[in-house]
Amino acid sequence: MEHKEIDHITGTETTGHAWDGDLKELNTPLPGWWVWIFWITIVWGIAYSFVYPHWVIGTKVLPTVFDWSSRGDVHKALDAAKTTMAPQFAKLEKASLADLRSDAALSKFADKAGEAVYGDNCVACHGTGANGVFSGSGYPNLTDNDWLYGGKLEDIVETVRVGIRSGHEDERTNTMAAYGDDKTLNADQIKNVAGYVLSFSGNSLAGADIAKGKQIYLEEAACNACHGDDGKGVSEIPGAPNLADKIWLFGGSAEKIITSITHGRKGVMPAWDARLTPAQIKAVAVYVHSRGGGK
Amino acid sequence: MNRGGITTIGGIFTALVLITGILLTGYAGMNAIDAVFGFHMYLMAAAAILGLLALFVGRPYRGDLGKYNYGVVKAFVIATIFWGVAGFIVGDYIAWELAFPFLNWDLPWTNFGRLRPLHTSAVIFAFGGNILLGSSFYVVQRTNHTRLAGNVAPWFVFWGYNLFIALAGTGYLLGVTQGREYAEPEWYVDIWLTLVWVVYLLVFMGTLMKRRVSHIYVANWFYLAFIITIAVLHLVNNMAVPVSAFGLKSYSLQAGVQDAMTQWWYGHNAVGFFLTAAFLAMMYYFVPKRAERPVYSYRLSIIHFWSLIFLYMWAGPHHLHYTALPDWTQSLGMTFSIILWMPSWGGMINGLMTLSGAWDKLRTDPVLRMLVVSIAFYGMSTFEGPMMAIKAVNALSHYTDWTVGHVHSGAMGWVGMVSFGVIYCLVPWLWGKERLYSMSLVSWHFWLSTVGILLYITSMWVSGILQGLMWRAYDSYGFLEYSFVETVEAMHPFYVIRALGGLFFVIGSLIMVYNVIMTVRVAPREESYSNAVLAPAE
Repeated sequence: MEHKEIDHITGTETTGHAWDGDLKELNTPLPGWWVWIFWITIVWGIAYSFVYPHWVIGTKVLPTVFDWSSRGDVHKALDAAKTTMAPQFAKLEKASLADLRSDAALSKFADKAGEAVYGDNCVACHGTGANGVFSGSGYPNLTDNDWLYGGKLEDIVETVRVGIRSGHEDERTNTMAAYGDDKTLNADQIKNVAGYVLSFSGNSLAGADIAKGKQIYLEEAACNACHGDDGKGVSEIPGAPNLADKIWLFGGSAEKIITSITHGRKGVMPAWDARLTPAQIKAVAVYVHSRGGGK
Repeated sequence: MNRGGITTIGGIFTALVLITGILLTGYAGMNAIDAVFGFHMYLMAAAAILGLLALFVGRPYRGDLGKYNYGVVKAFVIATIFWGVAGFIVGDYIAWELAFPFLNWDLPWTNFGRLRPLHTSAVIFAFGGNILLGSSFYVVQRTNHTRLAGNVAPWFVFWGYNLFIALAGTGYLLGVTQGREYAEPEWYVDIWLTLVWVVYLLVFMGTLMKRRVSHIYVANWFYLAFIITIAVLHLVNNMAVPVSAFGLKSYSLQAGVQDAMTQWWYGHNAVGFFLTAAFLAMMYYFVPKRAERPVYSYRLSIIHFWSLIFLYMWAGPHHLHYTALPDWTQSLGMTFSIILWMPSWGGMINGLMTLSGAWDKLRTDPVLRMLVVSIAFYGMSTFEGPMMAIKAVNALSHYTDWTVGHVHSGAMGWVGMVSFGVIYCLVPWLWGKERLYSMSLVSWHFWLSTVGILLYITSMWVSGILQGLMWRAYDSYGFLEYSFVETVEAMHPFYVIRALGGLFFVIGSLIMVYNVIMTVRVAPREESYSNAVLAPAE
């Protein structure tokens, strides 16, 4: 069986075995560099095992050269971050909103802290640019200067704190009735009133009788009670959108407006006072306020 | 010659197993508490009935001992190609889904969460598994100069293994998973695979035992290590208690971090023994055969075989860096991963250096080029792996697309390319053809795959490192610079490039399908073709 032969190309001897006709093996020695690197990694591994935790006897991990643990690393990093931020957060905690307006350095810190809070908690609905996930999605654009519950710092802090239809005892809410579902208006009437609403922003709806729509808006459905005679809202009633500014939370197409009138709209936002500290709420309000839409 | 397999001892035994199976699955199906469980039980019963029919009315099963059993190998090759193309298409589809999420159509069956395990199982277990089982049945016969053991058993392994794949795949689409990566099928599918795998081991061992040469060729060591280790991994990782004998759900025996460690001990060794050792077995036979050169170093094959087998077992914890896993387990996993570097490269050296004296063939033989490039990707991935296991590197790479890129340089570059090479070798050899239908189509396949893989891994490197850096970026106040969603937005262009790379790979595989079909149908016959068992060398 064994026919050791010299391979004519490499000059190396074969092992003398042959399988499946011509399948043979050379008896080449191990490559030196390969052996060396293998040994180096083994020696390194043994040495390293005494530097960082490797060995265990029973349930006890043997001590190592450095008293290192990954949990220790996390604590160190957290402590360092806390030390840097703690004075600023303490200041922010105590600061009134008026202080924030006058203290530029603190306001800058609050803006950065708010950006982090916003990124972790708000982007899912309001988008990374704070301009809503997409126009008409029902998630308000926070940069457009159009505010349902007020755009002053104080208003934003309160909205973040209590949320909208959140179940919080101080929750913010509004009421847009479902005129179609309630059978207050029939389909024709809804179409007419939608046509009238569109006319506030200079648009029209084919087949809608604006005069009839106006009558419904002002009398039968009394839309003006909340939205105002001119569609621009009533300042005493928070949560009632301006219908004349071409900004549409739930979409401005005739179809979307008819849907809003037929089924009503009930947007929601969680209350954040259990999740965020008062300082964080202040910070995120500063961030949102500074995105361009704050009043 | 007798009619049907039923008259052989293996046939009678198989018939008894199948009748028991029909009774058990039929009973379980009638009492099923989940609709999908009932469907799977009836599917298994139907498969067993078909198997029984085949035993009685099928072609003669008592094979000619003087001839190699090529039939079952051909079946495995066809299944490999079929599942491969399916798995690549699903993979590329979910790559597009990640770039353009609307493509999940808001349907449960096309959701990424269900299609992802369908893709991974299809490419690893269906494509990879079929070529491993098929090539092992070919190599063990050829290198031991004897016909495959058993007549019915190899076919039982073929149909049984592919039934396992059908059960797993339909289960994923219908929402069945035990939530263990690369081991998603539920308990009843695991039991079925165990039975099939034991028969596979018996066929392989049986063939080895009746070998007509004294020395066992190196490829067989790797195949045997693969078969035995996968059995152990499968059993330990799937220790679960079913809620009911008539339902889908089961709970793992372990909990918490022990469960996670068991899973990644399994997961990493599935890479080590399924995707590495077993594919090295293919390399050890097909590279020297194709290059018509002796294997570079017998000594290296011994040393790297045993060191690879021993060291791989310890490396799993690097999948759980910076988790609740104790620090000592994490650093131990890292240390062993680094020591594993040279044992892995031993296979690369033996593969590449076997080409010495035959490098010129790369110019003319695109099949050999595929095999060689696969070894290069193997070397690259087995360097990248230990590097990513270093905790400082892992702190950046973990949970990013870099990991996804790393896996795919191994999966598409090594496993995919070496399998294509083996398919191109085997088809003419099995079907008795003088050559493939078209070498230029192999070249096209080679270049499309190579460009596709490069697009894939380079985009994932950039995406992964960018992602890792964005996650850990702080501003001067100590706040995180980016929200998670911003990092997701930044990935978009790279997801598109990755999906394009995948498309190249899919197109290449479709060219292979055409080439294989045309080879079987129209390529000229090899005049000297014979499947008679070769006498051992004197």
